[in-house]
Amino acid sequence: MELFRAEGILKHFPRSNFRLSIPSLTLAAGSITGVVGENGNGKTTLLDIVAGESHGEGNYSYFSNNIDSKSKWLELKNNIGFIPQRIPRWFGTLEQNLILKASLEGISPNDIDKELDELLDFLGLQKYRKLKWTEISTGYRLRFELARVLIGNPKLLVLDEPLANLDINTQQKFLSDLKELLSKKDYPLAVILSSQQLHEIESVADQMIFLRQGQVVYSGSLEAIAEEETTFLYEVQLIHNDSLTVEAVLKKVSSEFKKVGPYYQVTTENDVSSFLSSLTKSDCELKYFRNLSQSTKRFFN
Amino acid sequence: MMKFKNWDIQISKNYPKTWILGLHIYLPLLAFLYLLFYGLGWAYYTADMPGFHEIEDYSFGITQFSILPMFVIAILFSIRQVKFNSLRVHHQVPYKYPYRYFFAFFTVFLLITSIPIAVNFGLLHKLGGQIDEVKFIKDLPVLNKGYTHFYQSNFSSQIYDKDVPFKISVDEEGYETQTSRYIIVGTYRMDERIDSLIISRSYVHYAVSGSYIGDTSLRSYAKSGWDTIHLNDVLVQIEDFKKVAPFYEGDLDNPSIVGLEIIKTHYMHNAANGNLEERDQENFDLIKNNSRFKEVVDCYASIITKNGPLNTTKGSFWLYYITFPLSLSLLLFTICSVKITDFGWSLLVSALTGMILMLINGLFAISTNYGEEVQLVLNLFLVTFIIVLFLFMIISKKVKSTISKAFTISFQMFFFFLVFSYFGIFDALHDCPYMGIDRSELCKNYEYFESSNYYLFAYSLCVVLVLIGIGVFNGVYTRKYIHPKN
Repeated sequence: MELFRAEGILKHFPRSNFRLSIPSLTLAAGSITGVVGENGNGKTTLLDIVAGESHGEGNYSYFSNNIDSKSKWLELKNNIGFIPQRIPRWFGTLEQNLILKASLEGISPNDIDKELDELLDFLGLQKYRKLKWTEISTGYRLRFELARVLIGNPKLLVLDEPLANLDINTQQKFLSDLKELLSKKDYPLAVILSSQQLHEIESVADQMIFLRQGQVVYSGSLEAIAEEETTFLYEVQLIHNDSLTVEAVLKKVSSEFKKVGPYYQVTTENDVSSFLSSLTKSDCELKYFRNLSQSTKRFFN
Repeated sequence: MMKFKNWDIQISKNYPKTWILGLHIYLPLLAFLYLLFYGLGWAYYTADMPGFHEIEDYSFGITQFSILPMFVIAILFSIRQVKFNSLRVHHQVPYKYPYRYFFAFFTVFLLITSIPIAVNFGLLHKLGGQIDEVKFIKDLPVLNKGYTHFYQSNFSSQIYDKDVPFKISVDEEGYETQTSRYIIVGTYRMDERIDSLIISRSYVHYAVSGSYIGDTSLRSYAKSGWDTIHLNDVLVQIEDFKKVAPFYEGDLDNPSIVGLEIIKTHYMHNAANGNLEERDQENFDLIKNNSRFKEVVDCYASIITKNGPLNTTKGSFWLYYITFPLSLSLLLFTICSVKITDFGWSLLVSALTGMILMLINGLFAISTNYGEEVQLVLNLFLVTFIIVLFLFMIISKKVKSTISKAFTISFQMFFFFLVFSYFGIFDALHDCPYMGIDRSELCKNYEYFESSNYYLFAYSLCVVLVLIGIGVFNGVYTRKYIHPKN
């Protein structure tokens, strides 16, 4: 079931001459879509357009409805939950804000406590509900913001860089919460989120979109990347005093590799087991290994 | 405290919009303050009718004191709205009903800013209950007519006819004339027939023309005339005054004195001098405590006409007073409709615009010899230029979105003042080259309006434009920046 469909998304910034152009984008119920790419390539712009925070040319359909009037759009927008990169601070206690949101959303006063309890239990926020915004960490702020957005029972969740400023454990907890949320919700819900944490996003995403200079370099499932590519891509870090020795080892395995930071990215036709066995036979100690064959990271230059 | 918190939570669950506005806190608080300050007005000691200046001092003192809670509540209310109401925009809840929120802000601000006026209502009700208005209105003509015979100082006598409306007529030259309400007694003498009293009274006539500035035919002038009153009427006036004046502490030195004695004394004195010219008149005072008598009558008149601080209890005062809460609610509505950072940028735009306006005016004033009129025309041009410039910045697609947004917010905030400044400039351009009727400022010469109607028209138009502006601003801002897809 498609919750969002757009054809010909176009946004032009004349001053910087940046043009975001997405031929089509579909977000299906129960799916998580990750938007990745280097900084300044249009991720936030795309999410702003999807969330209705920014205008973009094109044809848009939300929840199988076209936007044909103001009232219709406001009604549809009520079903979009958007968490921006910089979350505005909350005033008063966290609980008070959630109660207010629930009340404004029209939840019956008698049901508010029950709904909040369930939500806060699910997100592990129960013991923080009486605190204030300034008394909790960034990770908890994000989860409270997620709780606030979820109170409205949005059908489309748009999260801009939610993992920024979160430690690795919190990132994983947040993503697993999202995944669990999709499975628990008894109504259709789609999530689209942007992040620089490629591997973390890819671990939960059903669909990935890679943007470069406003253009879609890749859009599809991670499995499809492997199907499209005939070679494997691995990222390794080998320990040896002499870097020439390391490169000599890699040359034995593949003729195509490049140094990216402390790592080497190796393109080869060998599958994982044969690649690893080749490396372990060498004089170098294998310190780090990651299979990028099914990752959008292979699109980064 | 716990009970309050629980109640507060219950309100937010059941009536979230009331909670955001904080009505459950501010309404009881305001009611308490109203009662307090009304009570302070009511508690004013009035065993003896005070001088009106004492009432003014008392009102001023309490008003000063009540301004503090007014400021505190106004600030707290505004902060609460910025904290919670603006979240409705920032957190993507559609801002559907702009007028509802604007009028809610307006009502609360009206209630808050009128706290200092509560004391005057208390005073009015207390003092109004102390005096017999019907009796005073009936007594006033008697006091006016009779006072001339009991008191004269430096050839003049105060006449208590402040409420007599201006008599407006058009003279034979086509000038609209108005007779002053103050009648100055100049001469007091009997005529040769002895059966009538001649009183010279100076009437100030004032000429106002419907012409334009630069018409040198305009002029003002005074006329004086003679009053001749039959002796029998004079005696009636004297006897009536004697009956009425003591109620207003106008007791006579000699209560048994009869009218003829009074007249004879004055007449004899003047006749003895052999010169009945104005400057030979002698002062006389037959009232025991004339200043106290004047004070009491003045106080009665001021209470009935709601002078001084009591002016704040008049409907006409409230008509113009609502400008204050209107401006505040417009400002708060704007803050709550936009992101705080955008509001900050718009403040910068507003401040710079105002600064440039003042700079140009200052430079013009010190570097040229042109008169005030030319400067007014310059300002007319500048205000028009600003409006056009702002509209261009708002509408143009070539302007960066952030800048356009700042100009949109800024325009919303001082559009009201721009329009009002138009009327102010036009008003100044319609000054006549001579003083107005009350001699305190230049007269006004509007082509289509009476002076008071002009202000009412200008004011009403501004209010209507503000209301339209709110709808337009909300529509444009929402369409462009909050829910841009529709």
